[in-house]
Amino acid sequence: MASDYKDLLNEAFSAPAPKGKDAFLKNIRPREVSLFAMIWQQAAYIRVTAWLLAALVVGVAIAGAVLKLESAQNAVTMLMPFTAAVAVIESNRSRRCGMSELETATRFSLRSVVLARMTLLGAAALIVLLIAAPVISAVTCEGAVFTAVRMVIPYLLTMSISLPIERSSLGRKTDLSSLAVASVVAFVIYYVSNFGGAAFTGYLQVIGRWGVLIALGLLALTAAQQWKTINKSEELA
Amino acid sequence: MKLKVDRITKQYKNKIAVDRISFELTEGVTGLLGANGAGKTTLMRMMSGILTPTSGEITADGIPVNSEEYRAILGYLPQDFGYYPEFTAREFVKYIAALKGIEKKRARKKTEELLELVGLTESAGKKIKTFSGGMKQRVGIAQALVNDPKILILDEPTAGLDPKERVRFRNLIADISKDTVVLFSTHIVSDIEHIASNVLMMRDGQLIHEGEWNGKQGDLEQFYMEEFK
Repeated sequence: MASDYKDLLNEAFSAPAPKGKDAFLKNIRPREVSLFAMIWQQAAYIRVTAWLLAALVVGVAIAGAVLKLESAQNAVTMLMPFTAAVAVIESNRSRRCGMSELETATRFSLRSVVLARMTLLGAAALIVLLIAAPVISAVTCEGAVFTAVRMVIPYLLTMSISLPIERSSLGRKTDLSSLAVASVVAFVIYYVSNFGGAAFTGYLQVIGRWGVLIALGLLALTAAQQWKTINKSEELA
Repeated sequence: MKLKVDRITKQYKNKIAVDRISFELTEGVTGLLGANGAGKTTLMRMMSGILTPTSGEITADGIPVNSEEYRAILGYLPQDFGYYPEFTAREFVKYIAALKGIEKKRARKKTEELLELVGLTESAGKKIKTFSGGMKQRVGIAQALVNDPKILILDEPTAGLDPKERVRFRNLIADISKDTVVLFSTHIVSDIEHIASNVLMMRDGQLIHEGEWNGKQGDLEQFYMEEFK
């Protein structure tokens, strides 16, 4: 009965058309969005290839541990440059797809978009490292830190070389430059570890003694290059 | 809202693209006319915060152009824009809504409303790469409006639209301009004659006309042709 009255009242007294509703809505201040929310939102727009590659590295490491394959270490180390190349490509996707101008004119701007993508893919690489290094070191009986350093050096080397290339006129034309750098780094790892003989033993000794310092140096170089890419992203819009 | 452009200059190495331009815009449509290379796109890019002026200031009610607050009330359609190849029209508009800080539920609703407004409801789920030039332009218009902007800057928005779409676009802009500052550039003088209450004309980086255009001043198209022949 009550709902009948409600319907009758609604019919008899329809709500007036809103006056100045649009103008009122426009005057509401835009909601605050945290940096974390902004970064998280970008995760949905990173191509699935990037996540699959990271998962593949972890998968190979776990499979190597289960099957007790020492060669899994080389396979993982050779895959790391490609995860770096994909991260660089994802960071420069806006420019390559012609989205820079539009993204720069949005509230968060292109710099924030690039920073968010780099943060997410960097975090993914760190997670890969934290899972894969102890798993592999359990098979090879080498220290987890030593294994992590062996994995991270090709990653950081690829990043620090690819980022400036991506910003250059050559890098703007093609996706292949970062992948080419990754391929060269992976090939060198393959060649030296299989045919390097004394050179490989020497490399392992250097890594054992200076590996952490080399990794930190490359990390600083990569961070500097990332900073340049972020700052220059809007110049290229 | 008062959008103030104060002695704006943009200089590249040995070329002055925009030369000490000043004007003020309020709610309504302002048409920006000028030949290719006159500096229209450079001016619009500076007004959208994409390019930093060599000198001068742009503010909206005192809010500087390079602030998040300004960008939050801005809608912008560039002359040429790309898209991520995997994006559908719906995903594209929702992505821009996300970058404009619009809450998910509202973004979803607004996206559907705008795609309907630009006549793309049926194609909303299709990939943009399959769209014609006119359809892409309509997606661009939809994304520019997704945050209910107070300032709307449109660089050649009617390019690629067929005559029917152009009329629909004009009506849409005329409706929006009641409480929005709209600046749009075009080569098509009739677009401006139909909806712009204010006209800016540029040549060689400078403003050669600013203000209303009415019948007493003669035919706008004829004036334009004489100035740019």
